[in-house]
Amino acid sequence: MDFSEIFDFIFHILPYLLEGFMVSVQVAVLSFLLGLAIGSIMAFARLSRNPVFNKIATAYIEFLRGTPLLVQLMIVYFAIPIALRIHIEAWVAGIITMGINSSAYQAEIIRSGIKAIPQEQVEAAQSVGLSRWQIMRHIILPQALRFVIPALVNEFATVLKDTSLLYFIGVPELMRRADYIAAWTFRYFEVFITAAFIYFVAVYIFGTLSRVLERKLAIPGMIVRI
Amino acid sequence: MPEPILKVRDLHKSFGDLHVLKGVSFDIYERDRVAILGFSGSGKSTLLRCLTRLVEPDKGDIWIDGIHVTSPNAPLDKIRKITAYVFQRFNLWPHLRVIDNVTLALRIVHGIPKEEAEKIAEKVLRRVGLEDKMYNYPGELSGGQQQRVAIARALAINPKIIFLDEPTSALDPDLIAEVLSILDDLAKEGRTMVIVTHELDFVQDATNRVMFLYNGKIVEEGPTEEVLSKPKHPAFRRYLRRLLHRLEKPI
Repeated sequence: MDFSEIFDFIFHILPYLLEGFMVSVQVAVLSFLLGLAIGSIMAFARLSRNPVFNKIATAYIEFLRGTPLLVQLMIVYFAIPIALRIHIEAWVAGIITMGINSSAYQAEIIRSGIKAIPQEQVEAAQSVGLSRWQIMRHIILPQALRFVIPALVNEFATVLKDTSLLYFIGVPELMRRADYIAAWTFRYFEVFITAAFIYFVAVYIFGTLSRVLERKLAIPGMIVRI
Repeated sequence: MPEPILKVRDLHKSFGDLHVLKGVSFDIYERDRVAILGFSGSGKSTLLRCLTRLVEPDKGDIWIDGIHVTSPNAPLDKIRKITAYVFQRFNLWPHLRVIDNVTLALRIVHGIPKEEAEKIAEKVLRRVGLEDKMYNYPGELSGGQQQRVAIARALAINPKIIFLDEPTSALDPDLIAEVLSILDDLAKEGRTMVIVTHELDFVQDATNRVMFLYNGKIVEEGPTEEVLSKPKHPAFRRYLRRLLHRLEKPI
């Protein structure tokens, strides 16, 4: 095992892989943001007393969480364009699918953050005359957002790792580039270990940023639930 | 006799099969300091919450300062601007500093500009002896201090009636005195108060009327002196015996 040669090889393929990873990150960020937008709406829909909103949101979440992401990708990229006779770019299909998929998980995260606020605080707010919207804005959301940061960062890490599935619909992200080099050089081991390492470093960095953010937002005496 | 500031007629409330309030009626006048006594689970907290519809009554009528609280389009925001609660577990907002806890309602519900609201907050916090903790968070304070902040929060809006739901029951025994002393002062000032409590010493010193809630109804009521020294209803006598029994142990 010539380690210096292996390191040379990895050093050479790294820029090419990292370019692919930039695509992975861009897709992940856009998907996550889409998921956040839709997820917030779904969270409130599930919390709503309106049975229509409630049931639709629940069905939406259950379906998306109950089916594999890869299957969802296949549906959006292959099945729907065929059925509707349209063309969807691979990366667009990727962002739409991953965004919708993530929104289901984010909806549950946000909803549990909101429900974690003790009813007593809401009661005190009602007793001084705050409206439902004012209570949400001043009492519930500022606390709920603090609670959900760890879970949301974790969800982003998951989305980032899930971008690897976009390999199957031809998006030029990290895995597709890794596979290309590996097939060309037959050095599957070095290539995929490097790819794994790239994902790992990114996830680790985001985890650290999350902890920093949590510490900055922490309030003396208030324990954020684990 | 002037109009009562709080009128309750035939108040009913059930939770599922449990019929908690079975027709409660009473009047409270300005400057009254009324103690509501009762066994655990007798519905005292529920009664207190029904008065401003924090809990929706099933039946009955309530008037506060002439406003018909239980009418379908009652101006609840107006009612909640002239009433305030002090809760057993303080119910402070932990993500807001003490001063923000006290000024939140002033700024958002009463529309008072921040500077003026903070001056009011400073005054009431000084009243409860916590002006030096203005910029702390509730999580940094002891239970007694938190409850005093809660009292300041209630006082800040200068309510016509203050409702207190067992304000000292969740406190460590050594912290009870500091809170009762403030409530004592408020009582002497003539604040209209309705207080659910088990602190009989406080009831004797600071209240002028007592109501005993039993089986969903008020079965005994009257001036404090009279009711405590000559209890008539058997359940009330039992209640007093139980409480006094605990206090009788020599130290």
